[in-house]
Amino acid sequence: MSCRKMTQLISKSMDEPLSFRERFMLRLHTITCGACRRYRSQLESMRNAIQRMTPDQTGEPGQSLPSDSRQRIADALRESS
Amino acid sequence: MESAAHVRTNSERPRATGTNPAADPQQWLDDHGDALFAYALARVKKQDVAEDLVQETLLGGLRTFDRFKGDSTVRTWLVAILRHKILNHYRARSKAPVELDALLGPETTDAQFSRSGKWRKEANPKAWDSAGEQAEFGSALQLCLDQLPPRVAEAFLLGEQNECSAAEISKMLDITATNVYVMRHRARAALRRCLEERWLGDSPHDSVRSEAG
Repeated sequence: MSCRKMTQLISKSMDEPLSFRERFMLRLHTITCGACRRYRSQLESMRNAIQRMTPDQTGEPGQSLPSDSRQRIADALRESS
Repeated sequence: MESAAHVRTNSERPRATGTNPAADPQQWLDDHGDALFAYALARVKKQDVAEDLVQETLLGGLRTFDRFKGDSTVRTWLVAILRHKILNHYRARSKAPVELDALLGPETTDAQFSRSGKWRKEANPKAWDSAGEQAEFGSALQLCLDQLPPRVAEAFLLGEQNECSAAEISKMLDITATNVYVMRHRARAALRRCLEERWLGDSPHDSVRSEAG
């Protein structure tokens, strides 16, 4: 199996259990292929970091509500409370 | 064991969980309005839509505050409400299904390999060592997430953080269930490559020793 196909399998393994054959092919390949081994461990590092992110870290900083909209929303909230 | 990469944000300052926003809705708006707006705007791109989503989220949060258990911060709770409203917004938009290739193309994964499927020399993954543990990694990751099309970034994150099922993601992006896996493969490849270029760049983290296992 080519490295290109192997990266596909590595990604798949993060979403669902692989078949016995797929797991075997993956293990066999990564024994000798350092590049794919690094790829897999890097994907795992990324996932760990993403899961540590609190939701509000995943937004764009610096955007503020325009004041007229802010007023409109404040009015709506007051009416509702 | 607390990870060194966990960054405490303003929303994680301790708050009185019993404070009902109905008592002071202006404070509620002041505390969370801008953050929710920034979050929504990055994902829906249109200011008026983002404003409406913020309003609905704050109103919804205000109305259902008795259900808030205090097991997360108020901010986190509100962002969760907002994320679901954003998801509904994507679903409600009546438009022709978008091809995944138009959002994130096959070259994302294929350009790094030769015709025979081997790693191209310049694309061969480098060793990251303990890069994944460091605080700067989180910042670099955020910058790389911003490089993805916003809809893909959001759908990808929601999946990785187990907030949405693959079925919900396929609806959110108007792509087939199979293509959710393709999307993830491409998103991961794009992020990894961006991180390697941005994070390692000229840094001395490059290692010539092979990684164990």
